[in-house]
Amino acid sequence: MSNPSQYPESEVTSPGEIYFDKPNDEIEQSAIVGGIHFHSLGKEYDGICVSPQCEIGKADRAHYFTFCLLQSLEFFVVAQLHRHGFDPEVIAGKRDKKPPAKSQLKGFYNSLINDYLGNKTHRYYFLPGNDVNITDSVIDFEITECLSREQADALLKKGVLKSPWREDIPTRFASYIARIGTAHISKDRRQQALDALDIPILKSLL
Amino acid sequence: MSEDLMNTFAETQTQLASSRSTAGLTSDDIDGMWKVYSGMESFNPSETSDSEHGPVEGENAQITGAKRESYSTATTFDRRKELLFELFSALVLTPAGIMSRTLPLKDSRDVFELKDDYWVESEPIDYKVAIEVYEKYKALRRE
Repeated sequence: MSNPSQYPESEVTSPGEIYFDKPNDEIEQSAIVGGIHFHSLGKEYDGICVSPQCEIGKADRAHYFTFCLLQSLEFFVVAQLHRHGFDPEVIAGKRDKKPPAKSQLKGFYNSLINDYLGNKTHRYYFLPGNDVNITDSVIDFEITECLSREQADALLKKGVLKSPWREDIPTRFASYIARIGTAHISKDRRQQALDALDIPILKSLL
Repeated sequence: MSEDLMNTFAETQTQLASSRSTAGLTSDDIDGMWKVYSGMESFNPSETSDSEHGPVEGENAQITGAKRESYSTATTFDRRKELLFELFSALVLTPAGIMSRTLPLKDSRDVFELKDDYWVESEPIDYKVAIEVYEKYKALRRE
């Protein structure tokens, strides 16, 4: 499935298509807020709001907001390189360290550009920056933090996504937390299903 | 019970019987289906196995036996049920009008194709390690 969405591959998005020019002071769905203290990480990072819009838009106003971690793409890539066995000196290209073979890096690079930055994983979401105050980032739907309205109001609103990205982020978050792994149907059984169709042109492929 | 309400009740019963008849279902069929869904009837876990994964064993197999009364349904059946919810929520939460190019769910056929052809497994990040590595990397870059 090379390009299964309704958007043709040539429609490369620009920051102006993804972000509103000026963020609203009010927290809203897919608002990017800076300086959120993620307790599980013990540090402050940007976060993106994934609370349901129907809760946020209530007349009596939402009291709490859920944010997912928004880490810089650089952080994400360095972390993934380290998972693949490269230490910080090698990643930083220190001359006294033997560089990895190109073939060793090629698989990693392909996976990075096609899968991770192509948003083909459930857990991560590559979000291009806005060329102003948001760098290229990766959302990690696993890492969340809940803020009260008072806490969220005190933080810097860095940007808000436009539709359809605005709705896409919470939807992807929902898909991530609601997914369930099931065993794949065996290849033998799939083969059997096709064989049973008895379609001549398919049979000719056997 | 008022006469109107009685009439409505009788009409509903007639419509239900008619629907069952049209679908070729008897009252026993309906009752049987209800028993399975409510966990009163046994469910054969081997029905969900395939040649790669084999039959359900161990704790899950026990659930279908002695522990059955304390579970509403067998574990394996629950997984199927949850999968249906997952597919349903994916479709409902993703109306075509708000799909971005990164969320290619168009119909149930695509959902099944995504399992093998679109979605890929990701590797987790241990942030305790990653933060340390990143800070070291940044320090090295500044040198």
